[in-house]
Amino acid sequence: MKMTTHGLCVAPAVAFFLQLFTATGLAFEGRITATLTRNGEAQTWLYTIGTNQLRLERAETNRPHAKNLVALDTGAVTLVLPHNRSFVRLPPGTDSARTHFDPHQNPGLQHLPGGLPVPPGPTPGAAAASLPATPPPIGPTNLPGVPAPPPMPQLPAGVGPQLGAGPGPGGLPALPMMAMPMMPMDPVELKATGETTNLLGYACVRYELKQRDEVMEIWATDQLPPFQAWTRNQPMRFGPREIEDQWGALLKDKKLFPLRAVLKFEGDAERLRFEVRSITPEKIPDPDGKLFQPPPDYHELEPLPF
Amino acid sequence: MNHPKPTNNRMNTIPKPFIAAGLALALSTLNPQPSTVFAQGSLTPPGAPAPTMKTLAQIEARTPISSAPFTISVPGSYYLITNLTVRSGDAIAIATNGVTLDLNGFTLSSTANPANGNGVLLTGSLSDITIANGHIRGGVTNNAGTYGGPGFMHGISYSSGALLNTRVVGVTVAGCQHYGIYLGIGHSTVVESCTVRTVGSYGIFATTIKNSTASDCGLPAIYGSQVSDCRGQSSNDYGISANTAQNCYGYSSSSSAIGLSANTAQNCYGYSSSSGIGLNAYTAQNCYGYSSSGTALSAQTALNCYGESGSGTALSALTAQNCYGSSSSSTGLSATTAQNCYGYSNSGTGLYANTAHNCYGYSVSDSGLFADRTATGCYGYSFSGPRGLYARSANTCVGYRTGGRAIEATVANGCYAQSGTNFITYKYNMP
Repeated sequence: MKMTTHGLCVAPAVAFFLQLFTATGLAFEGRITATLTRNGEAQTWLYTIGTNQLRLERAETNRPHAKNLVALDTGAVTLVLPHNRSFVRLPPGTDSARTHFDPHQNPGLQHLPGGLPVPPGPTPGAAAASLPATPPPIGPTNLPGVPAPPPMPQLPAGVGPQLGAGPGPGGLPALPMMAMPMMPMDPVELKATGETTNLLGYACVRYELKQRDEVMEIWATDQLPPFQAWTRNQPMRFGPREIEDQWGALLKDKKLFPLRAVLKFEGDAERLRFEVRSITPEKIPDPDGKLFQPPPDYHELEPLPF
Repeated sequence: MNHPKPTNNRMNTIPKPFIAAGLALALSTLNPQPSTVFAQGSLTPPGAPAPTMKTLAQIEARTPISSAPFTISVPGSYYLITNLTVRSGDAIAIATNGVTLDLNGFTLSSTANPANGNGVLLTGSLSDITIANGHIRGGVTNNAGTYGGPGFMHGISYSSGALLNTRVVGVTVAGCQHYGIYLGIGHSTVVESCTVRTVGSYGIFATTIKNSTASDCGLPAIYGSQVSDCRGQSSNDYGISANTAQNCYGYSSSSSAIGLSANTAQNCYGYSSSSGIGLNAYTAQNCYGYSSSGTALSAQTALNCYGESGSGTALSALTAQNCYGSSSSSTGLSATTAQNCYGYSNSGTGLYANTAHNCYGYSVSDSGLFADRTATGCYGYSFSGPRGLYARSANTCVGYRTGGRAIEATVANGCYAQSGTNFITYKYNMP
């Protein structure tokens, strides 16, 4: 009788914890295939998820793409670089959305003489070859290989960039070209909208990411492991990060996995689309323990000293 | 017969003052000191003759290096006297501070297969090191994106800690499996007038990089805090990544990388031959970005810049001044605030902004200029798009759209249609 009572008490508790375990996505084991289309160029991402490890690789064989190995318990990422037979163990948090250079540390502008080095490679100019009659040079005019903007029609006084109106570049009205203070990037925040749907059998919540005039719509679930966006190298320290570079880490921080994400620019076409094509829960065999480890003959490089 | 004794008539003709002066001059040539007048000192030499030649150390106060591997463990100046080749490991290891290594125009090479070791290895946290004037070469090649072959693992690198006051000048590196010249960042490391080619990882990695090039690199070609007058080209990663980039050119052919990325870019050129960003910076001044199908130039503040893209946004900025963006099928120029700018697109919006001042937008089949809030002194032209110019509030603007909407606005003040008709809710100072 006691046993029965205990059994009655324990069973719901076990079920609860199993459900909780499942709900956090830690119990998922199997394979996920997704496509990422950016500026018209498609990539296929293959996720292989073991009990506590994740392996992410590209399906394309046009070049030796990097592989990402993730320890799901710590979030630590190992970058495997087959192109030079090396790997780098990134400290946990290296790819976090919060990790980045502070632009306020940057010194102010300085005026520099000199022109550009002569650029090799293809001559940019195809797009402007068919330009209509348009304004005089705006922007830098001493750049090599840059097609000169076509002439601008005479506009009414006081309207539009004026020809010969001042000493500014290309006859534009003079503007004070003073050093401008550094501006921080717009904060990017992942906000749940409250809308829900079901994608490939997984309950998803709609999130939005906004930066400037860009809006990213994300349908994500917490029933899969935390997201890992494919990365080819350690995060760069310098320069602003585009929303494309941040969305993955923001989802990972919140332990979400997107089944669909679309980035649109105001009044423009899609700039990025991520879509999960298939989710196959299955036991991942790894008899020799190599699936989630870098090849033994690869050279380990130190992570960048940041 | 007594003849008269001939007399010296000439003598008689010299005046007496001249004679006195001549005597005085003759006497003045005589040294009055008795010792010279009577030079008769001892003839015995004071001692044995001393050597007057210079020692070898005085003539060449440097240590020659004639074989490898060679470890420098004593501070000083060293120089190569021949080309050196190792079969494995490091060619030269510097294990002490205060060393100048002159490669003297010679070459360090390795036949190690697979590649291993360093051309020059700096062991530990060293300071006051200069490496100059020579070549480091391996046989690593880039075969369709995969780097492999014999040679050094790294051209010049360090093993641990941080390097201080370290310079590499006038060195070429080629054919290494990983780093070309790797000195770390954040400390006083300088790479100047160097070239790196065909290395599987970073080409040049240092705090300050000047007048150098790195190409055919597997990871970012040039990575530094202050980078100037440099060129970086990577097939797999960033061309140049820098805190400050000046007079630089960065090229990338990776769709997920950037031609040139910097916190501040001045007089720079970023190029992406795929869908990556051409040039990306917090502040870009006098810069040019090109991307085949991605954003050509992206900046928070763009001054005097030009972006050109095939199918991506040509120029994107929070603030754009005196800028020009041209795209075939996407937005020509997009900015939160655009001033004195020009945007062109064939099938996308010519110029898009929240606030546009003194701007010109041109599109063949879309809106010429689209100001989400205010357009002042702007001109929008569209050949066949929905409108020439759109703004919630348009002030002294002109629209052009033959047979269509010239200006579309909620409020317009002092605007007119050069061609087409206006579609305005509230009009002021205009027909």
